[in-house]
Amino acid sequence: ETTLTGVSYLPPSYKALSYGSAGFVERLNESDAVSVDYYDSGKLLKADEQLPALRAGTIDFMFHTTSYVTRSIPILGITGLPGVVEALYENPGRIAKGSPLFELINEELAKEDLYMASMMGNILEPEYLWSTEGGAVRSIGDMEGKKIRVVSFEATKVAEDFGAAAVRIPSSELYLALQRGTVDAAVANISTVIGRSLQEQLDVVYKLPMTAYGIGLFTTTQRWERLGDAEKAAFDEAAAWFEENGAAQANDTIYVDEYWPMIEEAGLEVVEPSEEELARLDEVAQAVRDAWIEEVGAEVGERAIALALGNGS
Amino acid sequence: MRKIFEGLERLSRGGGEIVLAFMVVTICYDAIMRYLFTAPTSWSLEINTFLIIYVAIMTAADVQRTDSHIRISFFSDMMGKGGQRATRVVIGLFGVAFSGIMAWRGYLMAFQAWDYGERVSSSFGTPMVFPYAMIPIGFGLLAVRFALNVLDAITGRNQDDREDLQNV
Amino acid sequence: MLEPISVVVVLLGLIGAGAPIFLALGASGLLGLYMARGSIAFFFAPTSFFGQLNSFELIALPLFILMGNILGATPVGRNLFHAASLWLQWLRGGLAIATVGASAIFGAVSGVSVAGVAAVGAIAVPQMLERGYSRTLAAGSVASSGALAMLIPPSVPFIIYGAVSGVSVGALFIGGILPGFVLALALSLYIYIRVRRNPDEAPAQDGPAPSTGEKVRALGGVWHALLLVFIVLGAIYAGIATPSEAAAFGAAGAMFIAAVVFRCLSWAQAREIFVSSIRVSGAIMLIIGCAKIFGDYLNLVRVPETVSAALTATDLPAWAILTLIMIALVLLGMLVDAVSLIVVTTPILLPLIQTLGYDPLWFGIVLVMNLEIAVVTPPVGLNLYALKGVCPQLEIEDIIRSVVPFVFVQFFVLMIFVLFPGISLWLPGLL
Ligand code: NA
Ligand code: NA
Repeated sequence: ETTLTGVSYLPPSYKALSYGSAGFVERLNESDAVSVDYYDSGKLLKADEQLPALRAGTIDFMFHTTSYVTRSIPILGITGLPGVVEALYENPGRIAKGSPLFELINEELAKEDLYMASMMGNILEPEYLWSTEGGAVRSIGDMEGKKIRVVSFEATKVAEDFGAAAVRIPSSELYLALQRGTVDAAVANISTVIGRSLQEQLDVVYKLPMTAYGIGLFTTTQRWERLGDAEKAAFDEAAAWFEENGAAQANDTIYVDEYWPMIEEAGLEVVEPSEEELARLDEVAQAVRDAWIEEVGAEVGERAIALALGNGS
Repeated sequence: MRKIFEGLERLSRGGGEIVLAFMVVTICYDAIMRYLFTAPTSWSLEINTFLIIYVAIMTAADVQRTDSHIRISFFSDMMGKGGQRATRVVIGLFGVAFSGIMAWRGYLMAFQAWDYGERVSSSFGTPMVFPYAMIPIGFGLLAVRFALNVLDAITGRNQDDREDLQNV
Repeated sequence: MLEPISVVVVLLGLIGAGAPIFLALGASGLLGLYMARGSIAFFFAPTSFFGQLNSFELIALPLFILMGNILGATPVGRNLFHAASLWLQWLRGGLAIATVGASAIFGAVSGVSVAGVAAVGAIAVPQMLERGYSRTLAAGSVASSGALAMLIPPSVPFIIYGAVSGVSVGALFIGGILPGFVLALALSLYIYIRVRRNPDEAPAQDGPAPSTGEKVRALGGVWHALLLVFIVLGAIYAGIATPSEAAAFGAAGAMFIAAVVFRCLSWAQAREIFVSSIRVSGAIMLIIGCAKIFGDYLNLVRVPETVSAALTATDLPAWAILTLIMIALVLLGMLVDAVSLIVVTTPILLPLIQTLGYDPLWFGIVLVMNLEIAVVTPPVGLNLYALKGVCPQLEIEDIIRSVVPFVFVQFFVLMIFVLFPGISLWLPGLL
């Protein structure tokens, strides 16, 4: 048996996000060809150290949130582009293993010696705007002059273009910052909100798809090629399970049956954006997309966006 | 040579003083701009976080020069002169090995980050090579300082007087 | 299990031989990683180090150290303790008790215990020593009460436990108030009893009782300190700054008081303060970073997991299992930093706790109470080093010795909350 070392920085308590990765590890470990030495919760490596560790060959595979590495691996930015993510999220097949977009991503990753075995079948439900009573955001217009906590480059740009101040504070201080009004709102995936109990301090969720991310299963092309056939088969089989259940379980089951009801129970007002507002987001987000296209190259960038929007082939 | 090296140590400690002042000023500036004008910076959190690495490692050699790192000298104080010198040599060798490995692998880390163009995925997007580079530089200086400790212990040269941490 | 033991032996050997603590932790951790994983270990060491320190919350440490050092150059600390000694003259050991109170108040500002030790220790220890308090009483009261910052909200450990366990952070914050208060009270009570039995440790103030006028006049000298507390607390509660950022306001405020109010900050003096602050901060941060290398080794060979798992396999009565868990956590807390301890042991212990029929909220509270002990127990006891950093006149050996009785008090209070879970859950239950 070959031992493969894998990591994820997410704790099991973020159960929507780690359901897929934990299941993958369990299945891979059960195979005869591979045993797994797995460390979640950032026990072995913090989020920022995972990619360097993978490249150095210290670990064999990693689960990583795409939004953490979009500026190091620009092609993964496709999972976070405003104006694109909604369409991508609604159509799980478009980034599924074997799809043209999936292959395109891997072609780009290969240039950096990386291989993505799966993107959990889809990206996760987009990140929305979560705000407090004092700084409630119920429309794009409301964003003007608000202090919004963001992390990723994509969300920062959009927030600023709508007249908001993009604030960066550590995630451990977000709870208190919302309570004290240090920030008015945060752009976040529902998993983060539930995981940090932020719903206790929040009053409104405005479901404008600001950005999104997926959780990819990555290894290096070198490591992948060095694996024997039996090991590859075991890996692929477990990855296929991850592909089928990763995003699906989070988006369609845990979010719907547990997390959104918890949000409702906490008394948050849920505001859906109008068609007009979505169109405005799309318009403003053009600048973000242009910047991204410039980074990945015009041909690749435009093709990836077309595929994500269902226009390409 | 020794004088030049000490100059380097003092220089990186002097940088630390600037770093500390920079932290105070920029964090206050960022928070006030955010609170009063809703116009925070994009860089304060990111740069200041990396400067913590500076505080941790870039002054380490200078602190070791004056033997001011926190340590328990209770048992070694009970040893004779010869025993003390021997332990100084052994500890110095451990120090050279540890700091040397940290510097060497830290260099590879920084080099790779540069090679692959790794950046923070924020709007400011610091290239990771800069924060990483502090590890090989800081531990490199520390390794040299430990080597000098070994040399001094063998030749019987006295260490610079121990300056206690606050009475610099 | 032989390998981890030999690594711990190397660690203790290096510390005993007088090696810098950071080196003992880093080198033995690296050696362990090498034995476990071969040359790949060389990768982990710098990444662990970097990953540990690459965290904005740590910024409060150098900034509060700077604040403490600046205040040390002003009469602020002296005025404050002069007033306290006049008002508390009737109470033997009053200054040590006041120190516990100051730590508790500081804990309501800061979520990290080393910052509390640095800020309170820099002022309180020199004042107590000057008034003839014993070194162990002065050091022990600061190092142990500094940890109250973790229990009294805001609290970074509670936020981390919340993320790992899914328990409401708000409920944890409320849950931390009562144990924080009880622990502060217990430490004060211990100090009171101790100085009654050993009067030499805290000399009674000579001279006649101060007049009321004198007492009121002394209060005139404490407004600077109150202003500073107001700046730091106010910045957080008004939403101007996060708790980490507030440290910068504290440092800036102290600078203002020194330069403008007392006009006692010459350029040369200011530089001296910055030099010593950066060196002290650097020395402590280096230990924090290298402790992580050692901790990562223990995590890699799954020592905390193995210990936790062994506990879940016993079929003892609930109270005995809980007691064993608490003792094991105290022992692990000697070697592992507080955050790792939460992250690694919670997922394993929590299912057992719930099977035994206990509330995860309660477990979070007693876990953090346990960490109060972890941060003052060597070799990985950062409060000890933080205190040494700001009080060079204390020997680290003295500091370690001085916390021993306080640890027993902490453990006693902990066990009350462990064996009577209803006490911890009472306050959160009201809300
Ligand atoms: Na606190
Ligand atoms: Na400890």
